[in-house]
Amino acid sequence: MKIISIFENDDQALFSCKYEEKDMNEFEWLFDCWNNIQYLEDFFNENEMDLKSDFYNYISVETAVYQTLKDAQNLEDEIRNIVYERKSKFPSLDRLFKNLYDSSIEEKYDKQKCYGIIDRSWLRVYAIKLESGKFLVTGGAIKLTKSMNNRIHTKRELKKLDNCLKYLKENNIHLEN
Amino acid sequence: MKKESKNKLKNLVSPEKSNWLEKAEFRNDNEEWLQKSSFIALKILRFIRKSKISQKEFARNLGVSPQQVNKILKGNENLTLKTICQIESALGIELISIATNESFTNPKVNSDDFINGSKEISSRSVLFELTPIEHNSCKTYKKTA
Repeated sequence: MKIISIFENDDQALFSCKYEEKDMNEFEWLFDCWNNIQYLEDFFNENEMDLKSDFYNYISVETAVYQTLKDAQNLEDEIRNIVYERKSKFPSLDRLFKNLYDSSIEEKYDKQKCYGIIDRSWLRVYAIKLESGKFLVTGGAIKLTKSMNNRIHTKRELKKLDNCLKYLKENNIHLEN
Repeated sequence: MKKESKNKLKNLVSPEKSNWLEKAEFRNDNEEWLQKSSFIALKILRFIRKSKISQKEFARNLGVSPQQVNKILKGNENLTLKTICQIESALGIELISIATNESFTNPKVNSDDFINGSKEISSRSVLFELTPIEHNSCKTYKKTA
């Protein structure tokens, strides 16, 4: 695994994992996928049943694709604003990312997630919080179910988070969250 | 993070650069035509899926390589009118149409102004609209003048 710098400012930095099996780092790959119509159409076609719920208002594959495109664009804009230190809905990465588990006493706050911008967004970017303002993206997903354990593609993201923490520990990088 | 860990992290970070920011800027600068390209790609995808046409077959009918079709279907291609018409012909569907229910004359500028050349056209008219994919959402993508 490699760690790739996405951007580094004075007090904020975003890094991304790059795994051997991919020729692109995870963060870049996520936004490539979320702007790839063929990828999105395939994904929502395969997971159409998850769209057929009261929560998502039984939206169609087409609507899901459009929604994802718009949401990804908005999220990317907000992150660009952080990079350029412009006025943003999220003034910092610390405000953009939240604890992975909403409430837990046992879980440390190393594992983090970032949502898309629209209401009920299914976009997720997963990261390890290295310290205040600094995050290491491990992956991301389009999460259509309540629990990450309910689908293979989201369950895989949990494994990536664990593997990344293990990698950092093996390289004697200690987090203080 | 302790200084020791920070230094170790610094050494771990690869010299390899990410292209994300460059791509993000491109997507931002070319938002409008990329959106239209996306809509066209989605319409093609939904049609060939429904009609059980393979991408290879579609490429063959279009007279291009499967790799080129792949590019088109990603929704990031700056399609020429010629290509759009060829796709429409290959699939027997309409992807875009000329707006017929809107005047091309800018109401703020009359023909005398054109003749006199005294006024600049300050807003654009709609020339094209994408044909709707389905009834219950995202029907027409017209920009208003």
